[in-house]
Formats: sequence, structure tokens, C-alpha cells
Amino acid sequence: MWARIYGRLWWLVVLIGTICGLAPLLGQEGLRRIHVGDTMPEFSLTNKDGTTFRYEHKQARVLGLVLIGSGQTHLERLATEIEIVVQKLQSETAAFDCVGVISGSGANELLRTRDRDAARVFPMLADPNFAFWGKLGAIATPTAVVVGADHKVQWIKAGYGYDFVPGFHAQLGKALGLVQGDASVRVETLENTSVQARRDSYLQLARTLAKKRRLEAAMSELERARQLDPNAVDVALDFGELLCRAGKNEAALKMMTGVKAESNQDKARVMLISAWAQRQTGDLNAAEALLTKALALERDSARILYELGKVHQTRGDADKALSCYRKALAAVFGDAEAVGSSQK
Amino acid sequence: MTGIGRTCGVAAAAIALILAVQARGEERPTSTQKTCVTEECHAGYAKKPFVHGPVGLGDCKSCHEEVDAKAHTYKLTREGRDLCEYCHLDQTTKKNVHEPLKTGKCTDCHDPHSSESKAMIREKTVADLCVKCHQTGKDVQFPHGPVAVGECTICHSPHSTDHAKLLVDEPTNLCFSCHVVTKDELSQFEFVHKPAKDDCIGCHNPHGAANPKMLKADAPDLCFSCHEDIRKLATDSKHKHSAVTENGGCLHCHTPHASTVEFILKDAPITLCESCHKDQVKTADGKVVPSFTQQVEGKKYPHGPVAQKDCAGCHSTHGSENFRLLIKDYPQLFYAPFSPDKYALCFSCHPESLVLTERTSDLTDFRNGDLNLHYVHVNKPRQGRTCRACHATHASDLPKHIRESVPYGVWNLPIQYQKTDTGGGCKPGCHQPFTYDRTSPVTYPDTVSPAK
Repeated sequence: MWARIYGRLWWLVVLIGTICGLAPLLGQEGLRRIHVGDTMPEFSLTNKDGTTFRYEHKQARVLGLVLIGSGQTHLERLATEIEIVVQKLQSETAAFDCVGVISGSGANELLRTRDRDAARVFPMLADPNFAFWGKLGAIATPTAVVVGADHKVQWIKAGYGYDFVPGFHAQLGKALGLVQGDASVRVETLENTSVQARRDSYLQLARTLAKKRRLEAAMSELERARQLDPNAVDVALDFGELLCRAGKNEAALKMMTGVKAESNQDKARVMLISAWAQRQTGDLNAAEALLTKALALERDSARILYELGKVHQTRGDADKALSCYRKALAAVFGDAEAVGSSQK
Repeated sequence: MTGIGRTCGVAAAAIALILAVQARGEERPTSTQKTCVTEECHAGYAKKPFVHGPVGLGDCKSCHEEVDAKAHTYKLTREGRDLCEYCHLDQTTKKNVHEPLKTGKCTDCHDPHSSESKAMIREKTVADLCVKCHQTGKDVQFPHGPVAVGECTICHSPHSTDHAKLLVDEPTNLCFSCHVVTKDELSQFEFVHKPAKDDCIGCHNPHGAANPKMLKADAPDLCFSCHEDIRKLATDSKHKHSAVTENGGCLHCHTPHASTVEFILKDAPITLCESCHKDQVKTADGKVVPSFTQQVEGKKYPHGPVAQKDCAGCHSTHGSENFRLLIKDYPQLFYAPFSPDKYALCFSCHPESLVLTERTSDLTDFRNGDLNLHYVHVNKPRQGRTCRACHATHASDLPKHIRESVPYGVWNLPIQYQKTDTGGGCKPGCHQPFTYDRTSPVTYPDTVSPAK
């Protein structure tokens, strides 16, 4: 007996828990008579000027429907925003229907004064006696409904909140197959105080200063960038180059040993900078070895070829140096034969 | 001649000789020389690290033409800019020309002989040179990067340019040349503050400012300088919102650059509001605004705008003439004579026909047959029940966010609303229990009819 009571109590707990879990949804009904997943009923509305819109199941077309009250606050802004959404979607995809229905006694007058071009983009229909309003069980306006090509209601939203139009746009896009996955509106802001934004501005300033030969100032900016993002490879590589230019070879070599390059391009650049520093300290063999490895990763790099040329030149091997320089020029200008012949 | 006279004569001659030698300095050549820069003469002209070409070559005649070899006098071979442009490209080809260049005074900025700088400027750094005429950016607490490093030429051309203020590019392009991430990110956002798109210096002083982020002024004053309408609302309304007018005001809710949320809000409106209204708040005039969060937390049936996280559906965030910062008029009391104007707030979403129409089968499910019970309750010339008599403004645990109870003097009378498939009913303290049914209307004798 106790087991039976316990079992029934348990199901009661499950039931209550289910209801509580669904409760947040219960309070958010946008329409009394239609819910997400229902089949959208067929309907037809005719304006006083004879314009008729028919929604019929024999046509497989996506429908975007916006219910608006004739006393709607910010009606013009809402209509303009919907027009923009429709125009954007029409430029991307095949036809779909997007209509507004204005309910209330002022409906006909509002439609009479409407701009023709706007009416072409986002047609509106009058429901002065709330017949359509009652058919769907509207509660408040605006209410947007998106119906898929299979006539199933995909999305309902009531209230001109911050995500009403973006949500309508996203859900229509989803119904039209333009948006995959989650079509909900994300909340994100741009605050250009992110680490990346600040780091990049220091990096850009450093590069500009380096072009103006303000090497110490450039290095100060890169130091700030490194403090923000110690693992940034591009910052470390730029810093290494500046150290080489400033003749601080030991520091450049030390910096390169700490760089965790992942791409071939970055790996080649690490070797190039290390070779540059080695050359400047007089270790030409080490420099040449590094540059040969770097060339294996970036065969047509003018920078690497040029640096290799410098190594040969320092050794006094003019032929090899010239050969490297010509290849470097060819890598830039793309005409190896012409570069070679111009020296003759 | 006497001894004294001879002595005086010698002394005078010696003095004259000394003066003459001093006046001459080194002995001037009296014939044409091959070069002027030697250890004895004009040595200083080639001492600095960067030497002007003709000086380095010893070719002073490129610029200086001998007038009188004996007197060792020279003149410039050409006047003004013509002298420099004989070798250097014309730098005045663009629309806006730097003033010294316009007037042919290249040497106001450049040392024609030698310099500490590769650009042959007269001072050690660009900043030291520019500051001689331009005091901009001096001694600011928050300087812009290029100003802090003393490199004015990052943004400004020292010669000529097609852009105003001698900028090297259009202002916004120039900002984005360093602030690359910002430019990329802006393109991903739907709602962008207009100055962020094309007028950074609308808010930021490009040289620097006394305010962080080089802002020309603090918010909200900075924002009010463009948003005059908001300023009026914030400062002149009967009911003010302190979150707007206090220091930093606008930035409590708005981001100055871009957002995915309309009106460049930092977050969903309700999240922003709850940052203050999570707890009870005391207004400047001593009134207490109850905690919003406590009113809605855990409740099953929120009012539409609350469910949509959109407090601005009912409240005017910047300021309002209506109590509780409501966007439109709404009765403050439990009972009120009905007129549509008084319910402007509710009728901005719910049609006024809801209350004006006695008989309907479309407008509402709150009807007994086709008798509209909203009409019955609200549309009365003297003691119409306001919406809040039955509905909780924010949320409740009853369907249609019907209130659990109504305040009645010191009591809270439960409403005990119950919904059925075709109707419902309530047992409030205001009247005897009534039920209603849309399909099978409940009949009441006239003496107790809800219509009365």
C-alpha cells in the first residue's frame, strides 16, 4: 500500500515539476488560438480598395505576418523596419509573403494614406472589425508570426521589444533556409577596449613609428602590446625585427626562442629574424643554416633570399650573394630572366 | 712725441688690432674656395648625424652664390621655395598646404645644413618642432598615442595634403589605420553609433583630453551635446531618472560604439534595469520604488513586455511626465472614471475597443457569451476598475497575470481567479463569486448581474 502511495506521489511530483518547467512558456503566449507547431489556418483579407491577400495551403510559401493595432505606438518606425527586413531578404532569396494586418477602427484610414512604394514592399491589410484578430486570438500588438513553407507556425512574438524586428528577420531567414542553426538574437556590444583591440592599436602604432625609424619608441609600443598579450606571435615577431634593426641581437635571439609559431609563415619568420641576429653577431654558418631551413618553408620569400644574400656578401662570395639578390627581386617583380639580364 | 703719447699710441693700436682680429674671427678667405666646411670655418654645419647632400659633397655653391670673393659675401642662388625645389619635388601639389611651405619658408622647419633627424628638421624630434607653433596636445592628462610619442606626422602631413587639417587621410580612415580591430568589428554589428562609423572626433579629442579615452567631455554632458531632445527629457521632465542624469549616465545602458541590440544598448533592457532595480530603490524625492526582481522572480505568468525583457514597453527610461516613468498616462488609483485618454499606456498595445465594445466574440476571451467583461469592469462613469485592479503589472502566478490579491485598506483580499477551457471565475473580496463561460453563458439575475 505504501509503495502504491509512494508511486502516485512520485508521479505527482513529476507532473508538478513538468508544469513548473513549462511555466515560463505558459506566460509567454503571443496568440490565444495559434501556437508554435500548429498549422496556420488559411485566410483571406480584402481592403477597401480591392487589394486582396490569400493565404492558402495549396501554395508552399513562407509567410511573415505582422499584426498591428491602428493605435500602435511607433507605427511608422515599425513599418519602416519591417520594409527594410523584407527588402534585405528579397535581395537574397526567392519569393515569400510578408504582410501586415492592421486591426481596429482606424485601419482603413491608415492604409489610405500609406506610401505606395512602401505598400509594394510590405503590403498591409485592414481588419477594422477585429475578425482576423479574433481568428488568431491576438492579445496585444504588434505580434509577428512566421510560418514555414509547410504551413506550420515556426515562431510567434508579441511586443515591440528590442529583439522584435531582429528576431523576425532571423526567423524569416531561417524559414527561407538562409540561416542555419540558432536564429535567436544574440546580445553583443563592441567595446574597443578588448585586449585584442588595444594590442592591435599598439602594434599598428609601433609599425608606423618603425617606418619613421623611431625604433626605441616603436619598441616601447610593442612592449605595451606584449604586456597585454604575452603570447601574441605577431607582436613578438615585429619586436624581434626591431631589435635586429637596433643591433640588439642577443635580445632578438632570446625573443625568438620564446615564440610559439604555428603556421609555416610564422616559423619561417622566426628563423629569418634569428638568422638576421646571428649574421649581425658574426655567426654566418648558423645564419645560413637557419635561412636554408626557412626557405624550405617559404620558398619564394624575398626577405629570406635577401638575408641569405647578405650572409654570402658578408663572407665575400659575390656570385652567391648576387644570385640570392636576383632571386629576391624576381620574387617581388616576377621576372627572373629580366632581372638577370639587366645586370649584364 | 713724448713718452706718454707714444705709450698711448701703441696701446690704441694694440686695442684696434685686437678688435679688428675679434671682428674678423678667423681670417676670411679673400678668394673663391673649393669648400666652405672645414675645421677652421663653418665646421658646425656638417657635425650633426644627417648632413644635407650639397654640404656633404662640399658643394656650397648649389645654394650660395658668391657676390664678392674679396669681401667673402654670398647670396642665395634662388629665393624662397625655388631654391629647395630646384632639387626637391614640389611639395605643394595638394589642396591644403602647410603655412611655412606656402610662404616659401622651408627652413622654418628644416635645417639646410645638417640635423639630428633624417628628415633634416631643426629640432631633435617632430614634437619639439611642431610645438613651436602648435600648442595642441600639450600637457593633456590622457594623450593620444601618436601625441604621446611625439610623432605628429603619423596623422598630419608636414607639407601638403588634400584633406582638411593637413591630415594624411580622411579622419575615420585615419583612425582605423591603427584601430583596425574596431573597424573590422563595426562591420559585424547591426546597430552602430553614427559617430563611430564616420566621425570619431565627434566624441574623442584626437590629440588628447582631460577625460579617459580622450573624450571631449564626460557622459551625459558629451552625449547631450548632440542628443538635445534626450537632454530636455532627462533634465526637464516632472519625473526624472537618476540613472540618466548622474555622472556617466548614458553609459550605464548604452554602448558608445555598436551593439546587436537596438538603440545600442549594452544588454537586453530588463538586464540593464535590473542592475539597479534588483533591489528597492529610493528616489531623489524620498519615494521608494519596490524591487522589480522580487515582483517577477519565479512567477509563472509575466506581462508581455516583461516576458519580452522590454521595460521600455511601458517605461520612459530618460524621464517622463507620468508617474513611475510611464510612457503614457495611466490611472494611479484602484477605481477611476473611464476615459480612453486615461488608459493611453495600455491602449498603446491593447486595442481600446477591448473596453469600449460591450458585445464581441473576437476581441477577448474574457466574456460571458458575447458580453465583454472588460467593458463591464472598466467602462464605468464613476468607479471603473482600472487594469491593475485585476492584473498584476509585472507578473503573477495566475493566468493572464491576474493578481493573487487586491489591496483593500490594510487588507489584501485574494482574488482566487480560476481559468477553465471555455471561461473562468473569481471569488474576490470586491464582489460575490462570479463565473463566466464563452460557449454557455452563465445567467445571473438582474439584481446581481456583473453588468451592473
